[in-house]
Amino acid sequence: ILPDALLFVLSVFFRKIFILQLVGLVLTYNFTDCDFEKIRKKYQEVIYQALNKYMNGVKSTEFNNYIYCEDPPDCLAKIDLITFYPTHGCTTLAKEIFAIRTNATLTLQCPGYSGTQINNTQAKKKRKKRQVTTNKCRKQVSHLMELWRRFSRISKQ
Amino acid sequence: INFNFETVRVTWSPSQYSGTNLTFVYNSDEASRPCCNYIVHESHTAGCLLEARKDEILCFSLGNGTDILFRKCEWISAYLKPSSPEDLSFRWHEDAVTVTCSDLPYKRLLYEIQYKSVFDTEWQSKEGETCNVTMQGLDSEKCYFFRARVKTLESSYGSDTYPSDWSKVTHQQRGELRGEACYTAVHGPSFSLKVRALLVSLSRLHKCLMPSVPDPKLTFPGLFELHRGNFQEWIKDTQNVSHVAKTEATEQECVPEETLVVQLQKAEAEMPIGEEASRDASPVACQPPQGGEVVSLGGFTFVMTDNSYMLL
Repeated sequence: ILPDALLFVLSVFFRKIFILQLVGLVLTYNFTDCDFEKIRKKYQEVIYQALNKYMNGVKSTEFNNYIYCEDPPDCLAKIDLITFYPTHGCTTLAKEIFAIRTNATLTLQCPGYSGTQINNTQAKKKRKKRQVTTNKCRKQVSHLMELWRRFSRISKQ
Repeated sequence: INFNFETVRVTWSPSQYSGTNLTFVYNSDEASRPCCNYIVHESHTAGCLLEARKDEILCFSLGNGTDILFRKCEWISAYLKPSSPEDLSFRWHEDAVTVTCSDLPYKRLLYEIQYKSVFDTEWQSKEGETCNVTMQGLDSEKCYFFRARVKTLESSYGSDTYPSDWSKVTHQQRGELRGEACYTAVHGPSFSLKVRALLVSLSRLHKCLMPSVPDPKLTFPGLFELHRGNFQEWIKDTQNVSHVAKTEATEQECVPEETLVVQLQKAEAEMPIGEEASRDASPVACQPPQGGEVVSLGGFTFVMTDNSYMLL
């Protein structure tokens, strides 16, 4: 028989886990209802150039590209994840031009997509430091480029 | 190279890996498989041919038995080479032509049609996202060459792809396929005039360089009709009578001004050959004639043997 204190702690812990899972479900957007054709056109017109500019002549094929997406909703979900959620070694992609344009496109063409709210305070502080494009970030962006290319090849005309 | 999403060819330089026989292993259906179809160069493995099933990521490794020397994952679409367009169709409407062919079963491609007339040195180009491309401003009376190929959109495939090979060149005139006759098609009065003028010039040049042999019937009337070509008999019959037949007007333009040329074929003739013999009053001309019949023509005396002839 567990002590009351331990039971209390465990209950609080599991409650929090449960709430977080609920929040996760809510925050994971389903990209099934997006207008894929309009998103594809926006990618070709504005997002592609911004991605290329970021890479600055470095080809995506120089990196190991192993992130696959099956269909357009799957591709957009992975694009959203890599673009807006920081990873170890690359935390600043969300402020780049291609990310801002991606955010705008998805907000416009995906009903219910809330977009990413960039923390302006943090952005101002970080602007003091000159942004340096790391190889880790380029690797992330090369995944993004391949996912966008895959999306454009399979989205219906 | 990804050939039309049908076959993928991966190659490496054996010398880069100390000339050893490398083994190629790749993923397929989430399982690792060794290469079944190696490309061999100078007794060493230099590549692998494998079947492509769809637009997918190929993860592969190169090893020398125990060690993995190289490992990579790539989208095979990044190295696509589409197949060449076939069976081009043409639809003419006034000054425009629409070229069509079968679209490939994957998207984001550019179908490039090139055309030129027989007088153009450079190809004109027009592209479309489907194999249905219309070109304006053509003259359907002219003969045109057409060819087509397929390229990929860089935003969808990257910059490392290859354009397809060019299709066969087809010739079109008045909406019909032409063969070799296309090269000689006449398509305007100025062209025909130039061709005719060229032909006339060539004809005159030919006659000047290779004049026709005059018909002896005209020069020696009665030679064939009365004496069956027997010149000796004809000479006896018509000695001291010389008829110079008028030559053809065209030949007169090109006939060089030469005097009589006498040629002696037999070795015993010691008379020199050539025009100089008739003009030059050298000791050669004073040698007494040797044998044969004597012929007088136009104030000149000739000794004829069986093997000699006169050219007037």
